[in-house]
Amino acid sequence: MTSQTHNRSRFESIWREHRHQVLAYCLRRASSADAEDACAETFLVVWRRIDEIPPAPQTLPCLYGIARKSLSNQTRAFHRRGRLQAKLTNLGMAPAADPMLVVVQRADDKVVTDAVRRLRPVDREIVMLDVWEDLSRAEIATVMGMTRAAVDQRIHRAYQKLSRALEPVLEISSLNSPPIAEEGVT
Amino acid sequence: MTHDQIREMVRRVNPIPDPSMLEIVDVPVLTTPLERRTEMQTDNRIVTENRGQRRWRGPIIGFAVAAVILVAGSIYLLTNDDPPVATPAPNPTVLTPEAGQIDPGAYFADTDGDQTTSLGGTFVVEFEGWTGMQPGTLKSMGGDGLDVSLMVAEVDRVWSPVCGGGAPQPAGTSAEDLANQFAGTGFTVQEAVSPVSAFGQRGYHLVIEVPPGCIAGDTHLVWEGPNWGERYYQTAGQVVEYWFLDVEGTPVMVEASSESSKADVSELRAVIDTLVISP
Repeated sequence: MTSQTHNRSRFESIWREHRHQVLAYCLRRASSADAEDACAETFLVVWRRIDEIPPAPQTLPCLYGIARKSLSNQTRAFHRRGRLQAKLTNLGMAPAADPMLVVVQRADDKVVTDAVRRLRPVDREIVMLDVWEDLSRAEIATVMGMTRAAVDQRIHRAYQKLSRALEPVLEISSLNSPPIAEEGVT
Repeated sequence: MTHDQIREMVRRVNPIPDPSMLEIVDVPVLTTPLERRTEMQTDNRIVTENRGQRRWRGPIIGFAVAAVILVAGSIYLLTNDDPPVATPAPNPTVLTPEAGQIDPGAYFADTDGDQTTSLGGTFVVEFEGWTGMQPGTLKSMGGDGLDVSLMVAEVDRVWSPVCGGGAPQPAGTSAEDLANQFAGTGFTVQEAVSPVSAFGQRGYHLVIEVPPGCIAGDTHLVWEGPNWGERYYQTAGQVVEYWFLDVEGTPVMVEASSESSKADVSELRAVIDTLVISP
């Protein structure tokens, strides 16, 4: 098998296995159009730098790291679309809302979303990788380019903040649901 | 409140709880990887503001001054191995891809995106409207698609020749190699590679311009860095100013560009003036 054939085969394998997860990662953090662009951008980088993509189980954290960077580049594109968005708004054709807002269906969900949104950007990203992408602490460290200890510290701090913000929601919810077993957050 | 309780509440607001439900087209076409670019562009203003004055200097005086500077600079560089002293602003905020809009203050651009290593550039943004971009910062001018930016990065691969597609080449392993590599990518060299002291380090300065006819409705990947950093540009006539610095053996690139108004360029210059690269 030639190197080119091998690379293509490997790329297709990565694409088939992880495309949904990468697109979901992007959709959780950006509008639909930006997410699709960032997902395409991510796999473009994968194709170009296929030799640098680690084998499983490090592949997915690596892809999330590339997607994170691609989404950052989308910020630049967002600025470029500012005038178009203003025109659309004036015509009553506002662009799609932030996905985080779209999912708010209940008042307590909004409290949760707001609490997550108020975290520092890096802490917020770590919480989302932890809960939404379900990555291990070591995998989160890979995506974020941090030490495992730094991730632990930031998760601890983020969960303390979330705990304070979400306490009222839990009190209301607990009136209608059985208690959950304790596990320490101080 | 427990970790599990918090996780469950955050999990409930996950906008994509099941990625397998997403519909995606088949394997993408791989034959045309360089498509659809949104990248910064520059103009000549950043590097040509003072050129009009130089034109009026007499050739003899110009030659004499250049010779004196060249000799003095060479002697200084040959006899002094210590890097120039520069003190970074205290307590900078580390820029990350999630930084977004940044307030005026001191910031740290991590040259390789790896927070477990310390090499990077510290600079101060005193103005409103800037956005943090790991590894650097930019200011976009409303919806005009114009921006000014400063990037501080290590480089893994350089694409060459840039005019006509190009292919990735391993990056030079010294600041001088890297500068010469960028100078040879196919762009027009406006100011040749020359020794420089900047940002607390020694290195090489280069200004390049994209020649007419180089771009045919496309833009070019120019460099790639660690942790998936990369840079696409440009349009014909675009000018980019580089400094390639040797930071204790590691080549670091500082890249400044602008396509915005003079006022915005002055803000960029003010940011550059505060930049200090530290190992």
